[in-house]
Amino acid sequence: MQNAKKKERKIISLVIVVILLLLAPLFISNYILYLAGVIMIMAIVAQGLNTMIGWGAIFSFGQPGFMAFGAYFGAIVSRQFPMLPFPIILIVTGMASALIGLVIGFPCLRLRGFFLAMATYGFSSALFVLINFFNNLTGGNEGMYVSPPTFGPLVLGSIEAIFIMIVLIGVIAQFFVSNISKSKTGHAWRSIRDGEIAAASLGINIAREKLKLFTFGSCLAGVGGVLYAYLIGYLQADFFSSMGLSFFLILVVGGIGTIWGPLLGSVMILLIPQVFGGVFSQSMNLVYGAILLIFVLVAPKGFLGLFESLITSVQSRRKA
Amino acid sequence: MNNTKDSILTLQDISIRFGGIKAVNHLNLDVKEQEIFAIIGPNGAGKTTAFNIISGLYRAQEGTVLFSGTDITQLLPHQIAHLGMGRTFQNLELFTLMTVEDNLMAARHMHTKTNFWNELVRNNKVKQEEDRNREKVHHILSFLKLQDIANKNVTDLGFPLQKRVELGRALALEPKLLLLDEPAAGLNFVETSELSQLILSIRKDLGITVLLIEHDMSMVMSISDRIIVLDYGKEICLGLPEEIQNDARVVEAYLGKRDSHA
Repeated sequence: MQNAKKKERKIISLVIVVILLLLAPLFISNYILYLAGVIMIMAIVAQGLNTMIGWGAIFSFGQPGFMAFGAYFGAIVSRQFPMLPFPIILIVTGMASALIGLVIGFPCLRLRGFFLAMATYGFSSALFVLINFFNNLTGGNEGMYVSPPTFGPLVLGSIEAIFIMIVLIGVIAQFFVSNISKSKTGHAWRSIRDGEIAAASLGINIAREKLKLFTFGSCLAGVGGVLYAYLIGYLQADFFSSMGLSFFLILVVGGIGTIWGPLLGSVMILLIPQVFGGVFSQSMNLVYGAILLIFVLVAPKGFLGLFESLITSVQSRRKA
Repeated sequence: MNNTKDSILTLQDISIRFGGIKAVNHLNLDVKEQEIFAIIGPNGAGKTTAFNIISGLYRAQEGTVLFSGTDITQLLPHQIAHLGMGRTFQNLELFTLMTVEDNLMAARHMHTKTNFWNELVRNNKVKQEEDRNREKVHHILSFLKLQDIANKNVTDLGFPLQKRVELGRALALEPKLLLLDEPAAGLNFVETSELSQLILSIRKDLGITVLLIEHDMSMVMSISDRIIVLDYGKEICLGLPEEIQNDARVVEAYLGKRDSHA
């Protein structure tokens, strides 16, 4: 009974937050909207990495590459086929990214730990080179402009419209991840993280589940990429190659393996330059490095873990 | 008595070599359905290696393994699990970041008939399957008297309880054959006798055949139908508990030859 009530309350508060987010464009300046959009996109891509690392112990450096792939793929498809409505482009890009994930994951997932990280890093680096190489498609070093998303005669060129799109996709992605987390597949993925031998002894096909997980995470990165393309309106390979470690940073700060960690981490990591921008504008990496060090040493479970242990300690004190 | 029953597991002339060492050397074994069969022998006799061959972690270099009539010699561990074989591990292989309940839920993998797309949207079928699995898991937890700690993290439990959780996880697979690798190691006298009752009840109430490796002789002698003694990867002796107890070769394998100087 109490559980149902709790769940109801949780759902209601979530709905209120989403409605507020959707209404936000009415009250908030374009700059804040843009920043919030980037935060949510980074959260979606980081969520993909979160499922890989937090559930499957798959340390992939491929996220920036898959994000770039999604961004360019979506941008090129919408340029070549201007008639296609944006939901189709999002779905097709997601599927294409998943397919690339499948193709890259198949050989790479035979590797583990450091070697897997290097192989996926190699994929990302190669992709950035390829993007600049095929400059007739991608604009190469000069970059390419992205045509705004359309839906029939509607052109959703305004930042408000794109922001709402990002919120909706973010909610759907979060919904999918939370569902998978509770399901048979979620259990299988986490059991692989905790012990492959035991997982195999329970009838879990390790190779197949890892590939599924890698594909899922790549798909999220690709969808994040196309949203990024729409939001920024202009693409350069450098945008993505410079993201490098930021997804790891987001996860470490937010809390690896938690459902809300990626969003929380994105908010914190992307707001830091806003706060410290004046003083440290030339040395943001120094700030990030310090944050990473502090979290790894003091709060390896991230901000969410810190919060949880705070709550439990307060509760146990109240009991005593 | 056993000859009237069908074999569930047959090892025919199994050998495996690690470098120059023959860890298992032309081993033959025939476990009948509903039997409690024990493998004993000194450390390094190849008992766990034999387990790893049976459950597919190692591949035998010679010989054949048959499980319920299927040749499983070349199969992978997860394929063998699908045929109905569950196991525990000598050094515990629990999912340490999960609760007790989730450890058992993970074992319901192959009994859950949902696919990824159902699970993405979490439709009614997924919820029904989950409820069914949770019911089964709680049934097993209460069978093992673990229901009160279902939501505890496994790392918060003591070693004996962790061992019982691992046993529960193997049972959640609903196996036909259960392999137990030193289930009584690290348990005290009371816990060991409880475990003996539990294993007898697993056979009697759940109809599961049990193949176990164990060093605790009082337990092995009291619950086993038959016992095989290994040394240096070879069978020294096979028979009923009372036959094993009085066999000179067994005493020699454990304690050394009577006339040799220590």
